[in-house]
Amino acid sequence: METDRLGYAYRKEDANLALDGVDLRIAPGEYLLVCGASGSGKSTLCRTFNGLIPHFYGGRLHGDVRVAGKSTAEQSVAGLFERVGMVFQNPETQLFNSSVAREIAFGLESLGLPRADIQERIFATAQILNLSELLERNPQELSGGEQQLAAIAAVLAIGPQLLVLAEGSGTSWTLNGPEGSLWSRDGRPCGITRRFWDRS
Amino acid sequence: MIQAFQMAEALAEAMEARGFGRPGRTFLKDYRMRNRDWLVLSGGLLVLIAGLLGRHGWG
Repeated sequence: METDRLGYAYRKEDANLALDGVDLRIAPGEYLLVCGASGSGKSTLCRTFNGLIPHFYGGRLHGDVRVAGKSTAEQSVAGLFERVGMVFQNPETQLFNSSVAREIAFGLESLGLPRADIQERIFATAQILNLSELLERNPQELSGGEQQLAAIAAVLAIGPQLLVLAEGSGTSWTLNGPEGSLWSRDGRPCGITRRFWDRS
Repeated sequence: MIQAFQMAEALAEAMEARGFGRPGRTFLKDYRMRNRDWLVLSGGLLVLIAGLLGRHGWG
């Protein structure tokens, strides 16, 4: 994942940029924590990683964002989603199915997987993240932490190479359970993420 | 009202981020027409025809 002198304005005629001159290199196995005040452009930066910017938001994009060497400007969001998984800030608005199982199925259906494979991946994901008892529940009736877990499950099941957590602190608490941690001290995926990366 | 639009946008964004709109989508649930679905459908059609005939006569 690389960006070259990335700049962005949400509106074409807007003079002040939401992002200005961002150079990034994220190597496989690396973690990057982006800190900043509210409104400083953290979410905007996240949206450039999976192509929502510029494809969904329009606006004016300078510079280049490349995932695995390919520019996001030349790919669609639907083409990028299997490589760049994104968990949004607000857990409720990103859960839109009638059960957690169907939530996890959504991305796998997009991939065009056969029914049996989808079923298998739902169960495997639920087992790794320890949420089997939530599978038949309605996402809107879950607690905030459970919703975050469901949102992460729906993204990890796809098997992305890059995981973008737009709300890092909350989601990291969710994942720092007995099953393992998202963060590792040696900079490599460990615990939960390792098991997903090994599988895909 | 404005909030409804914001929620709609967030929903569209979340769906796209999980690959909605990509060709070749499969479905976990299989919706198939069963005998009773055909039965209800044809029953409704019969009632409609009977109602029309009753109102406008047989000719």
